[in-house]
Amino acid sequence: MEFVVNKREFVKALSRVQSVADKRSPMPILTNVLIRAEASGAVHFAATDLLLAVTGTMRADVKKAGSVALPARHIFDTVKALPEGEVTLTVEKNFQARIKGARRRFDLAGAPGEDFPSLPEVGNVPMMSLPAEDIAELIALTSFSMSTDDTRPHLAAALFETHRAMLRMVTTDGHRLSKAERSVSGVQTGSKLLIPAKAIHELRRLVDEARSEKREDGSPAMISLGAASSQGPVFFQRDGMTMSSKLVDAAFPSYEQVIPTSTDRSVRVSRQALLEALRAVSLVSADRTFGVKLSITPGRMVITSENPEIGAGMDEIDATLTGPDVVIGFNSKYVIDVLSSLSCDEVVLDLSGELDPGVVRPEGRTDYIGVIMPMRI
Amino acid sequence: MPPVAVIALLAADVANQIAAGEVVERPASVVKELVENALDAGAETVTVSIDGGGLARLAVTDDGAGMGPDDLAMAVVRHATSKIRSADDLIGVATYGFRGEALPSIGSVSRLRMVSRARGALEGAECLVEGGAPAVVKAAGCAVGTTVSVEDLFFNTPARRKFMRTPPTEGAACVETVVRMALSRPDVRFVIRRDGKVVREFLRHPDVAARVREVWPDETLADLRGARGAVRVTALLGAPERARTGASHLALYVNGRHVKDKVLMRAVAQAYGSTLDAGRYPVGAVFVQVPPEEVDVNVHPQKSEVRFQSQGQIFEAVMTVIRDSAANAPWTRAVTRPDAFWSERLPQGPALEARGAASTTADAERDASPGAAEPRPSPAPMVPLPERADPGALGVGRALTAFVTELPETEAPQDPWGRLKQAPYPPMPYAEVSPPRGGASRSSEPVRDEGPHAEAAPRGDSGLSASSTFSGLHYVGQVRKMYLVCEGEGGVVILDQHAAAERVTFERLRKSFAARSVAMQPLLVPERVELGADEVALLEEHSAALLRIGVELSTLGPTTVAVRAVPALLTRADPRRLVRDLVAELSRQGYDFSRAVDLVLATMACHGSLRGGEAVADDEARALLRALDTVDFAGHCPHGRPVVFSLRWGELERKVGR
Repeated sequence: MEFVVNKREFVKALSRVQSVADKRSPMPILTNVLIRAEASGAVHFAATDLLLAVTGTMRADVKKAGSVALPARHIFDTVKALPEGEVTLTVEKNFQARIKGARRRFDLAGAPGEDFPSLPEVGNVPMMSLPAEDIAELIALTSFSMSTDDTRPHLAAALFETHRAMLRMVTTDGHRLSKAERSVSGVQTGSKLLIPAKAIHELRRLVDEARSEKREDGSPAMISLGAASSQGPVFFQRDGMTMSSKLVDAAFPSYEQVIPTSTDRSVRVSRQALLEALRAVSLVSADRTFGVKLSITPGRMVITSENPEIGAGMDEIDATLTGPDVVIGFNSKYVIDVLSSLSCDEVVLDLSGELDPGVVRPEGRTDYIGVIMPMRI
Repeated sequence: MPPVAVIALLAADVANQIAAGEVVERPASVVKELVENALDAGAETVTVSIDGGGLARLAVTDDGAGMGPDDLAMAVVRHATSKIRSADDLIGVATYGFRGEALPSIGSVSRLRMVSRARGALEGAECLVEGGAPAVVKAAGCAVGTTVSVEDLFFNTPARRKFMRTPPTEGAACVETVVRMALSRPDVRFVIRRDGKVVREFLRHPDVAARVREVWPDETLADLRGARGAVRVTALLGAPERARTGASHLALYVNGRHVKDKVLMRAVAQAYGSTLDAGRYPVGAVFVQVPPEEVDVNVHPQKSEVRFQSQGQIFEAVMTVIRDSAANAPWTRAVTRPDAFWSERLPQGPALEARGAASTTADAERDASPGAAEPRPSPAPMVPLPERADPGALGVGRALTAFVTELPETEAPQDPWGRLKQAPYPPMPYAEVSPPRGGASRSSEPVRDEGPHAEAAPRGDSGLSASSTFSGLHYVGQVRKMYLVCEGEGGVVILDQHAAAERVTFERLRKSFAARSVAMQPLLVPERVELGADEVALLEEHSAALLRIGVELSTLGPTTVAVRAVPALLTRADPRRLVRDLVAELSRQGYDFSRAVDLVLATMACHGSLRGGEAVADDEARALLRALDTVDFAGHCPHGRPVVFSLRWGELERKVGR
């Protein structure tokens, strides 16, 4: 196998896949990146940790077709370390790879490409095309409330729902929930996919890359999405790149039930003012529980927190209250997460009793809500 | 119509083979049965030979009472035993074997040869059993005692043979079995040969401690003893940082019988508290003596399981004895190399005396067991050392003696009983932490003259509070931005700054956690947990206490509870796991909620503490030393790593050749 390519192209192609390679896997082949050169001039890259797989393609001057698996970290680091300009990769007997740029060169021990596990292929899975911008927003609005506990896979995941012309993403860690929606064209009816957190983070990279690439015709960057079945795998595609992931085989909580349908009171505040007040006051909240108290009366909201070992903090912001006064405690981090993911000027807090879930939503919009369980301080 | 089956008694050889399936699982179980018989025969020396993993040949030779020709023939008949006569004898069984199943079972699946001569008999006899065939007995010449050899184990049960592991694995299991039995019988000399070579040899000792140390020569084992009511506990256990995952290096004995008992294992782990990660157990052996009528050993054919009449009481006894005497264990204070470590590496000076003392002891032991082979030189880490016999020579103050030496002379194993009973109780996590007071102290230093901590401070006969040790050190400086170097009266003391700070933070967090009402985080989606009916009842019974620590549960059904709220501190924890841990805690006697919270607090302490790589000002370092004095188990960080290393002047001088 042998091909010549510009170093930048090579680095770009490798950087997309190498992060997925499982560098600590007990299966040594998974620490590698598969590189396969076709006589047509296409060079394919692939890496997988068996949960996720990413494949990409670049164009190169292929002298001799073939395939090889090379250690992900080393191939990436060494190609990056080559001088700018043309790079030649040659694979010789015993899968010894020589990477050469100008007068600098590296020899890396590889493995036969055939040893690499076969990856899921899109085949004839029906794909729908969605604007990358919308997916990026949905991820930003919801990914913070995924659980980080891998032992609870149904919560360490995001629910991806399509319904009519609606794309919806829902996450919950058991204490709070985020639901965001975007209406998009090209959505087929009814599908529910539970995508593991790790795939969501990788999807974010894919989407960000798509958005950062200028398109000549000025059309929005698109991502194609499709799933072979409700068990997966799910595929995400953009120009020359495919990511696939297994789906979580567990039931997501029936989230509609925990979203309050009506509340006793409603408070409108400036998003920025509340965010700043919470960040400041929570500095003195009790050891790592980030508990703050909101005392809401007509016209104002007083934010306090107390830690017997440090002291106390207090701030006051303007608020418009509809309904009776209320004092309610929250984990300030949960509220901050929601507020900082939004971009609107004003937010509305829909509250009932001090033990009932509270809702945070952007003023005048229905395409996002955050549900937060209050804290008993 | 199928023919009607006629019910008939099984032929004896078939019954024996069935019984063999229970008793004779693998070579190691044969070894166990044969060594037990040898010990029951009053042997002083037991030699075990294992060839080809015990599958090719196994032999156990003893110098016990021996048997005459008639006894030999009888021994291989099922349910024939000399050890009990009636069912009443089952209560208070004092011998290892009693079921009368072992020899006939072994004989039915191997070629069994027994040679024996009773004491006082003129000649011996030989008995051969092959694959369960009737025994052939004839006269034979031999020494007093019995040799039982088992060849071609499972030669006639190929199914069983197929399940054997490789000879090295089976052989190792055999050796392990003998070691386990040797641990509880220091009065018997054991020789283990494997494929012709002596692999282990244990000499006779007057005390079990010496035997345990002989088994684990590389470990510094603390000698912890005490009694609670009728339960007597003798434990020889290693330091928490040497703990292993799983309990394979923790040997448990009830009335001298090796058992695998989860309750006892948990009691040992519980005694170590937060210094042990979950699932880790210390290295060593624990011997529990209970009145024979309190324990049922006839639960399992291999007798490795027992049942206690009052399980909770045994748990408490084991846990409290270990916990309370561990305050004086060598490893709860600074870590020093045992002197044997230096004496092996440094050729001159007091080390030679140390070696001399060690060999004198060994000589005495050899004299006590005539006919013993030349003992292999062993490091004998716990042999009393010249320095310790004369602390003045080291220039060590009394308080520092308790601090820098691994075993002060007053705590030598020879006189452990009276003293350790007076050992103060170190405070239990939560259970004994002072009740909530109005406002917690604002001072970063915990209040020292209140609560059980202050009472726990004085240790040992020295009458000096151990708390003077850390702040009494002269702080010299920081090296590598990781270690604090101090000069003590006895030597150089080096502290891991992160581990020390972590230990202090942990203690502070724990106190403030206990002193306040707990912030609770209700769950958006209550979590269902399936449990046993008794466990649900247990949780209901304690629901008020659980609510106080921030856990709100509601019962959904006889075997289902819903978790409605968790302590805000534990928001990242899985509620289901939390509830299961709580059930485990509750089902033990007493309620201390230590594990889950301790683990979180330990993690928080780790994140919130001074790290390695940070510069420390002199004042900060001194404040840290003072704060360490207020902490129990100050020698270890909450994860069980040692905080302190000390180098005594003597060691230092030898190192530099003075």
